[in-house]
Amino acid sequence: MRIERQSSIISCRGHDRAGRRASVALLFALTLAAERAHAQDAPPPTVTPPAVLTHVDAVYPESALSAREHGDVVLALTVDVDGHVSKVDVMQSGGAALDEAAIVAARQWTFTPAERDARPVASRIRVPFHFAPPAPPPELVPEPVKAEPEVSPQTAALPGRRAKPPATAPAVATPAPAAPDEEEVFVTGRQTPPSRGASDFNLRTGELARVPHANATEFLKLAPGIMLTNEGGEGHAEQVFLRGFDAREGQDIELSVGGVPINESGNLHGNGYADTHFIIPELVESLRVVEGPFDPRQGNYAVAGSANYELGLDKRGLTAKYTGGSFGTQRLLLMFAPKEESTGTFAAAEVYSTDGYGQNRDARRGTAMAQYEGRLGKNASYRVNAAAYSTHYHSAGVIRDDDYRAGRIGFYDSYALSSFASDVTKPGGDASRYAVSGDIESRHGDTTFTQQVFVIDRDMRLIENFTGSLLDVQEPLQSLHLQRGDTIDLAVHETTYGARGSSSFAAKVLGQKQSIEFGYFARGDRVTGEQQRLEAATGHPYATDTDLASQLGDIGLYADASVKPLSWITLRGGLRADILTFNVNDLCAVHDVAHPSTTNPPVDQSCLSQQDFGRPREPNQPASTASTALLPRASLILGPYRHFSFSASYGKGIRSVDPSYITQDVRTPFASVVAYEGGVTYAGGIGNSQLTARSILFQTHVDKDLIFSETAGRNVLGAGTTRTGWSGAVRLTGVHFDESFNLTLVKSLYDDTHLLVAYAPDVVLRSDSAYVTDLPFRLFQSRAQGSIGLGLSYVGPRPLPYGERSDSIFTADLSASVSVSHVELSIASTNLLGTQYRLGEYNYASNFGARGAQQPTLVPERHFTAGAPRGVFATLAVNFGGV
Amino acid sequence: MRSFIGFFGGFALSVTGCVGTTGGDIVDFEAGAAGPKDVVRGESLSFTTDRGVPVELTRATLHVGAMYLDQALPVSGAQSSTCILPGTYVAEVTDGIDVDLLDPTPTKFPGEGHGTTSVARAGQVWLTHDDVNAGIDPSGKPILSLEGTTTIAGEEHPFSAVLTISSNRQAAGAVAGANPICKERIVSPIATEVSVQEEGALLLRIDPRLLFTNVDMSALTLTPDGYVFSDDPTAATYTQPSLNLYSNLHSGGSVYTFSWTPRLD
Repeated sequence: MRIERQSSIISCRGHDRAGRRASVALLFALTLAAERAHAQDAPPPTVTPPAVLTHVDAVYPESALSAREHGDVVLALTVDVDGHVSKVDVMQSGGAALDEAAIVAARQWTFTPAERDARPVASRIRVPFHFAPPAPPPELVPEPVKAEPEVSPQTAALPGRRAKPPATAPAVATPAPAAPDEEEVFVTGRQTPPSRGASDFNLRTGELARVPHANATEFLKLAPGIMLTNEGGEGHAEQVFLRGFDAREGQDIELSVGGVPINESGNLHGNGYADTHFIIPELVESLRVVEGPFDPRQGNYAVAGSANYELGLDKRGLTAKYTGGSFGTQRLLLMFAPKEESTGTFAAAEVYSTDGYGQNRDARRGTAMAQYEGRLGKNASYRVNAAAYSTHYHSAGVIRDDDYRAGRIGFYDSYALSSFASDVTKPGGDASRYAVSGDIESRHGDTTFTQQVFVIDRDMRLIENFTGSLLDVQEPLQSLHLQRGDTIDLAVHETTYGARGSSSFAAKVLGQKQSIEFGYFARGDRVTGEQQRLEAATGHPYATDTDLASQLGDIGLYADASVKPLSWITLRGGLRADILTFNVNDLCAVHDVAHPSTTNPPVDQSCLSQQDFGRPREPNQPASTASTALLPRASLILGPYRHFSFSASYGKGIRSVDPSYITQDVRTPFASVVAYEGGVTYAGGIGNSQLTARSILFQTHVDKDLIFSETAGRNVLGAGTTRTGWSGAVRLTGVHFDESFNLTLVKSLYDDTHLLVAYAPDVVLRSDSAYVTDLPFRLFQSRAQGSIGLGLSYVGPRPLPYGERSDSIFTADLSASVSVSHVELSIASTNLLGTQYRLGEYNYASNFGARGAQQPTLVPERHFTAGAPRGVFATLAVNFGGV
Repeated sequence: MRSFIGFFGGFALSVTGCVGTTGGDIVDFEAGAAGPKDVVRGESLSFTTDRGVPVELTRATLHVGAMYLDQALPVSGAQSSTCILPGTYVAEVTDGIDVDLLDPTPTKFPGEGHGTTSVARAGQVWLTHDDVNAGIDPSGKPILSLEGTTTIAGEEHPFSAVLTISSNRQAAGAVAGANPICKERIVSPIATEVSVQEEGALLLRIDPRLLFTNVDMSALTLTPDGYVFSDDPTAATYTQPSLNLYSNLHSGGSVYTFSWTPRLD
């Protein structure tokens, strides 16, 4: 195979220089059929097709040389909002060899993305390739062999866009470019909201998806300042640290997928708890992370920022993927994507099972996600999405450092399975999420309408024990008892229904395009949450901490304007108004009685029905209230210099509180954040590579921060805090590589004491690298392709309570893959260096009984959750194409 | 370039928490317990009780199962309902020792104490050999042992006390509202103001003289072995002196004193 190719190159070299190069005739006959809404009675929307930034010519395949055949291949390329080719479909085949050559080339092209009303949008374009064989060599003259045949650099352009003329003429005759009226741009996907400056990250996963990611949350690390921990197991939401915030499991970061909210209002474990495990990582096409409350579209929970996942599937056809490896891990994933549809149309389902990397860490889950993206007439598109997810898992919980140092328990062990274990109910839980959503986007002249509806049904059970047997002290009115254990059994059921929509209008004023958007967001939540304590010996509930039934409402309106007085000045911003309503029935409001009956004391009941000398009193307490918040947000973006833009942003955000804090007619005690930042962004190119670099200074102030209470098992309100810091991020994308690097330094202080906020890391560094290339061999007549993905994370020592610091964390995750035709084999190693590290560290009091007959320990001690040891996983993926 | 690096480095240091703290510290420390300073090792302790009765103690041993310090301010009556104090515990010594109350030299606890440098306002002394909530002390060992002589009506009589805290102190029946056994074993709250540190030691001094406050030994039944305090609250011999001696064990305000000392020896 290799010999054949070399001889063909040699023969080319022997001929006229232009003609001897592998003559690949590239034709751009781009047919754009601009979609026009209401063509008869409305002006067309301002749609600008994508323009080629960089391209790679196709190489005439050696296998076709002998036949010296001419051929035409027509590809449909999907160009995403970042200008990368996210999908390639063969519209007209020229045979397997020519098709492959065209696809290999097209995938390396980069574009200036299509725009609709001055906003980048995904688009689909047709690109024909004409292949002509090189002229026959007059003589064979041996010359040094190059690894790859040279091809003439050409720059292609879509009509209507600036383009350089071809540097050299094609070696073969090519048809003239198609007339503009033959152009067609299928605009798919959804509009990306206009940028808010340097802290607005539109992150395309692209080749960086090759870096090992255990779940969708890990893609957040592509944005600076994010650290993830998890003390609750594989079915428990990741704890997110962002720019010095301990955003817990989503309470301080607004998370959504395709615009559908993930945060769970009223979740008893944490108001705003957000579990992203229902998202299949392979379906994450991009995500937008805004670090700060700077966009009027951001609503409740956008205190540290927000992140929205966009789903899509590049790989068309039917793909089956099996992963097996360390810790008894197995995963089967099936993905289906019709070739004729956009990347937004797909279906996928997975079944996952693992024994976990230590004691009591097993997990099982199943997930199914499907989405259809279609068109309604010529001026509207719609999406329908459905997702189902269910899991059962166990959690190792925390380990006391003194027990570990004394050898009483191993690093990856769990108290639940230790020799001195007393609990019959192991920590862990169950979770499920079923959701359907639909959205529509249509354009009428200069106005764009969007509308989305969603319904989510969510269940969660969580069993945790952070303190062992510490809290169940003998109360005077209780039956005499020993410590029964502090195990928390928390159950939440939540139904969420809601809608969001917007209308934007754009017009040219002062010679510049100005726009304004009005939008709304509405959600209702019906939530029941109960937290009980389980007796260690029997697993029976012995006390009820909380039992709430809540109806919660959140309706927000916003106006967002983009004013451009000069071509290099943009002022974006507006106002958001939210009303949050709470109707809460505390079913266990009375825990003790002031004047118990001496003859009939309440004994051990948790939720008491009488108090004050036996006067009738039901155990519940309804409470309802509402509050409104006005949230101004603004960004000034200056771009007087080529490639550089400077931005300054201001914004105010809120987090609603746990329903358990609601008191009748007392205004909802919002946690309010005010954020400021200034940044500079460079966006340009180095050769054929795209470079984006940002530097950001920021400060945020929260009036009521959340502090984790290990005794309550959830967050409680704390004092005000201020964070000041710097973030830097670089993304360099080339034909064969993709590199993302970010560093964040932040200092988080309490306003009253000026002491550091515990647990939030002050130094976070992350690097994601991917390299993809053709390999120098062929299998089954197909070119082999290889890739490497490397993820590096460093988290500096985190401040812990009582003046202590945690250990630093450094991990490396590596993957390597080889793909041939429709088959890909990959090997991934997580924690490649085998570092024994502590993912989470905490200082607080607990008593797990590991010290035998000694008296209980009641003072704070270091605890930790173990990070995963080295794991090696092999994946075989087969794409059955076609469909 | 150098100035840029200097600026950036300085900014990074000033921004990050490398120059900050969350306050306080977690420390391990030595701990010990002893009799009062003014006793002489190897000698008996002579004193006169508040009732004017002369006493000569020849043996006084108290078993301290553990001691704890808490941040919460002791408020009269407020802590009476539970065995565990409200607030945050800031220091603990969880290995027990028998303390010779006639020896001013501290007896060192076998294990190190552990705590945070926050100031403690209340202390607890746990008088137990085993689980503080266990209805029966499986060890059967005494908590307090006293021997000595007293002079009543001009005559010198020996006396002795061996007090245990086990089922003999358990309220009849396990009913709600009954004093839990842990309250019998825990002396709490003991007012104090001490902060543990990395350097130095926590010292508990116990004054046996104050155990005889309001104890009228003449009310005890004189046996051939002298006056013997009863350890059985249900017995007929369990009279006021026995009750008061036992009650004085729980007198947090005077019998027990916490202090921070540079050294234990």
